[in-house]
Amino acid sequence: MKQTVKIILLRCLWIGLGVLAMGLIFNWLSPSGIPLVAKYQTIIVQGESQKIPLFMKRRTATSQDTDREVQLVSEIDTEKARRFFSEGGAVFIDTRDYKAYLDGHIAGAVSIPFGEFQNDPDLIGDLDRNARIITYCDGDDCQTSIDMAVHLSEIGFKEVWFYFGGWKEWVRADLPIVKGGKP
Amino acid sequence: MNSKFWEWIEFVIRLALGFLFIYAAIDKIIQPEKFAVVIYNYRVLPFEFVNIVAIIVPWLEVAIGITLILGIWLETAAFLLSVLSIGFIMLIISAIARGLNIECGCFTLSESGSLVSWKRVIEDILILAGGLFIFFRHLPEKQSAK
Repeated sequence: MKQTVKIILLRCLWIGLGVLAMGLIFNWLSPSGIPLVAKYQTIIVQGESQKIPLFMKRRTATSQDTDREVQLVSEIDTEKARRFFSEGGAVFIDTRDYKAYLDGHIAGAVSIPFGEFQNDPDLIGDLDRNARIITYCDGDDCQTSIDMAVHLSEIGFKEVWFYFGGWKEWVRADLPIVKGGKP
Repeated sequence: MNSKFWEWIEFVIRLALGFLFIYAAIDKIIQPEKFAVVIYNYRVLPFEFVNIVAIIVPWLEVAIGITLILGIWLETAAFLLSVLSIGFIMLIISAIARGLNIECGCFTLSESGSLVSWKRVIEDILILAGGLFIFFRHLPEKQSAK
């Protein structure tokens, strides 16, 4: 029995080393290779700093040399979100699933589920890069509003906020909502 | 006769799993950045480890696939296959339990990719069963007892 375990572990080690070498060499040579550690932006969320990774190809990543420690996107609370909402001009982006969007969303918000955006960043369309963008999702433990905000700033959007309180706080504050597929 | 039958069954399972694993690895090797996103979306690994896992796991699948097809180091290949399947099963169940509506990343990374679901869990349990079947038929003690 002991011998069997030894043989298997030894062979696992050999396969592991071979696989590690193949993976690293291929990734290094491949035009679609990725960095060994993903680039990230550091964001302050609810008073605590969080690293939000940017998954991009090594050769197309914009932050190539150093990881960004500069705050490019900021958190927004319900009060400020309400103010931007009533001032007009801000674009609210709902990053939840389309089904959640249909059930109800911030009035005027457009639906861009983060999962779909990851697959196809063109979903953002010709949205003005200088527009004031506010991303939101469910609230509380949902992360996609932050991920979306960081990725938008990475592809050139100048003013991006993430509304961490999100849908839940917006509803709790009894602010305008819309049900159905229209913004 | 009887053992011939089981040998034949094992051969078919080996080929099926071998080609399946290689097929599953191709998309991930071609599009590592997409696979990294899939792994990250499970929210299990710290992001610092996501890319390295995305680089290595597909090649592990290739290695398992090749050894299964060629019939070498079968006990180790089947052991790794079983460990990998158990890992996948736990990952998918945890994603379902946390209500994550994410792409599985199991076999392809197509845009309409299949989401995590109980169907995926059952598929992985079948793969695990195949792995365990091969593993227990090829334990070195059995070979030496022949």
